[in-house]
Amino acid sequence: MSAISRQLNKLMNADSSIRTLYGVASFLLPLLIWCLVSYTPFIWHPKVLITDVGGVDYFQVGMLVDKEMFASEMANMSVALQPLPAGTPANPIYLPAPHEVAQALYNGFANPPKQADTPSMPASIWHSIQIIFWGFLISSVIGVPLGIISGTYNRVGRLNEPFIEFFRYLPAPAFGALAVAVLGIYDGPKIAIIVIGTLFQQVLIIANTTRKLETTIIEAAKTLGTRNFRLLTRVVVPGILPDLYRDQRILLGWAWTYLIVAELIGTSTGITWFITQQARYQHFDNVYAGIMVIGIIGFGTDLLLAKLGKRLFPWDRTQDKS
Amino acid sequence: MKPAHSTRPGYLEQSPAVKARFDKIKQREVILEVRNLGKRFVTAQGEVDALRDINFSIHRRELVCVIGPSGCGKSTLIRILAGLENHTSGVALLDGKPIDGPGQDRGMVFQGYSLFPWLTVKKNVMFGPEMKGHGWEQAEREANLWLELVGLSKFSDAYPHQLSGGMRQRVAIARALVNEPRILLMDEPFGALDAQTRAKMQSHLMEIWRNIDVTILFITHDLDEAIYLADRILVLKPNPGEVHELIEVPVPRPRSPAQFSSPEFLATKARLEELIHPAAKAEKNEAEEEQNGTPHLIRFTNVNDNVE
Repeated sequence: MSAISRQLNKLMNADSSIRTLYGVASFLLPLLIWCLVSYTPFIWHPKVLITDVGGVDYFQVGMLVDKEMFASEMANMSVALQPLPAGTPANPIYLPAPHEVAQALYNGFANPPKQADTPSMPASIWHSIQIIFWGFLISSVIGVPLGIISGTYNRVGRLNEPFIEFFRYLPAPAFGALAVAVLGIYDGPKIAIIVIGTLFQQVLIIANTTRKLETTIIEAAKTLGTRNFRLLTRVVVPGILPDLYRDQRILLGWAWTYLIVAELIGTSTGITWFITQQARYQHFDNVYAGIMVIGIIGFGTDLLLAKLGKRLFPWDRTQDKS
Repeated sequence: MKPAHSTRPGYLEQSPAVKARFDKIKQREVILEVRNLGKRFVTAQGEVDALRDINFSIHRRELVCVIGPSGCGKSTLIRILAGLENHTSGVALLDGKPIDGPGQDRGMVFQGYSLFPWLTVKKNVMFGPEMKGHGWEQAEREANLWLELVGLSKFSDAYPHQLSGGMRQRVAIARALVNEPRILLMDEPFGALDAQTRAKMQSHLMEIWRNIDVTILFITHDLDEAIYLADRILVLKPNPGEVHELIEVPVPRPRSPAQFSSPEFLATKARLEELIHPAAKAEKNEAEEEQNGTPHLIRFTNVNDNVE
C-alpha cells in the first residue's frame, strides 16, 4: 500500500516538475518576443533616436523621429553639403524595453515619485487592494450564503435566480453614475461597482456548485439521522467546500477585472490613477510597471490560494487533475 | 430423491434441519411488516405503478434478499423503507410503527460510494452517533469498536478516496451499524465490486450478521448472491412491480461457497431463473434480435491479415 503510494508520489512529482517547466516557459515565450522586438535593431524599430543633430535645425538630441523623415533629412543634408545627422533605430515611446520596465518597477517601490502630484506606486496599490477586499468581502457575505441556500432549496432558487440571471447582464460600469449619486465620489461607488460586478455571478455559480453535490451523500446523511439545518451545516457546506473555494478564486479574478473601471468612477484613485497620471507624463515604463503589478498581485494571490486549498482540503481529488 | 417428494419442485423441499430453522425464525417477532404497499408515479405518459400491493414481513435476525429484473421497483421499495421516498398506498411498519421519513432505526448501505469524502474513515463512522447527540469521546469509542469489527482499524485516519471499493463498503456498513438500527437496508451494496472482492464481502457480511443482532434486507440482481446470503428471497416482477414469489431458501446454514453446486442451491437457482427470465420471454427477445439483424461488419483489414 505505502509502496504503491510512494511510487505514485514519485510519478506525480516528476509530472509536476515538468508542469512547472512548461509554466515557466509560458512566461518566457512572450518575454522573449518582447526582448527580440526591443533589442534587435532590424526588427520593427520604426523610429530613429537622434544622437547628433548635424545640420538639421529642428532636430534635437534625444528626439524620436520617423525613419522616413530621418532618411529624407539625410538626403537633404547630403545634397546641401551640410553635416549629416546621426541616430540609432528606436521603438516608439509607448513600447519601452523590458529592462526599462523592470527599472521602473524597482524605482516605483524604492523611490518616491518625481512629480509632486503623482501618487506613489505602493500607496496606489494598497488603495486598490483595499477596494478589491471590501468589494469582494461584501459580495461574498451576501452571495455565498444566498448561493448555497438557492442551490439547496429549490424554491428559494426559483424565487431569486431568474431575476439574478437578468441582472447579471447589466454591465456593472453602467451603474457608475448612479453609484456616485448615491454613495459620493470616494471609495463607496468603487466598492459598489465591484460588488455589482461580482455578486450576481457569484450567486448563480455557487448555487450551481451546490446542486452538483452527490444526492447519495445527502441521502446517506438523512438515513444517519441528519435533519434540516444540520444537513446544511454538516453535509452540504463541507461537501461543496473545495468547489466553493475554487469558485471564489475565479470570482476574485473577476473582481480584479472590474477594478480599473471602478477606480475611474468619481475621483480617480489607486493603481488606475497611478497609471493614468504616468501616461499623461508619457512615462510609459511606469504605465507598464503599474499594469504588471496588477497582474503579479492577481496571479500571485491565486497561486497562493491554490496552494492553501491543497492544504485545506486534503480529501479533494479534483485538484490533482488540474 | 424419495418418490413422495417427486411431485414437488426441488426448491420447496427442506431438510429437517432447514425446516426447523425456518420454524424458529417464524417464532421470532416481526421487525418489518409491509402491507399492500404501492407507489404510483405520475409521468408525462400518464400514471405508472412502480410498486403494487406488496406484502411481506421480516422477522428479527432474518436475512431477506430482494431480487427481480430491472424496472421491478426493488430500489424504489428499499428507498421507501429507508424513508427517502414516499409510498402512495398501504403501510410499512417497523416494530409496528409506520415508517415516515428517514431515521436511525433503519441503516442504509448504498451501491455508490456514499461516504463523506471530507471526513476520515473514523469520522465517517462517528457521524451517526454525533447526530444522535453522543459526545465526541463516546462517538469515537463506538466508531473504533465498529471499525475493529469490519477490520479497518488501521485505516481509521485515511480518507475514503484512499480506500479500495470493498473497504469503502465496509466503512459504509460500519457507519450504518454503529447506530444499532433495527434493520439494515442494503441497496445492491456489492454491485460495483469485482467478483473476487464481492465474494469476500459476502462472507464478511454473513460473519457480521451471525455475530450481531441485526436484520437485513438486501437488494441484488445476482441470483447466486441472493441464494448464498438469504433466508428468504422476495422475487419481484416488473410493470407493475409486484411480488412474484417469496422463496424460502432450502440451502442449510452455515453457508459456504462449496454449496454453490449443491442440489438445493441449483434447484433454487433454477426456480429463480424461471421466474426472472421466463422461457417465452427469452424466445421473444431472441426473435426480436433476429428481426433487427446482427450487425453487418465491413472488413477494415487486409484480406490476408487474419487473427484466427
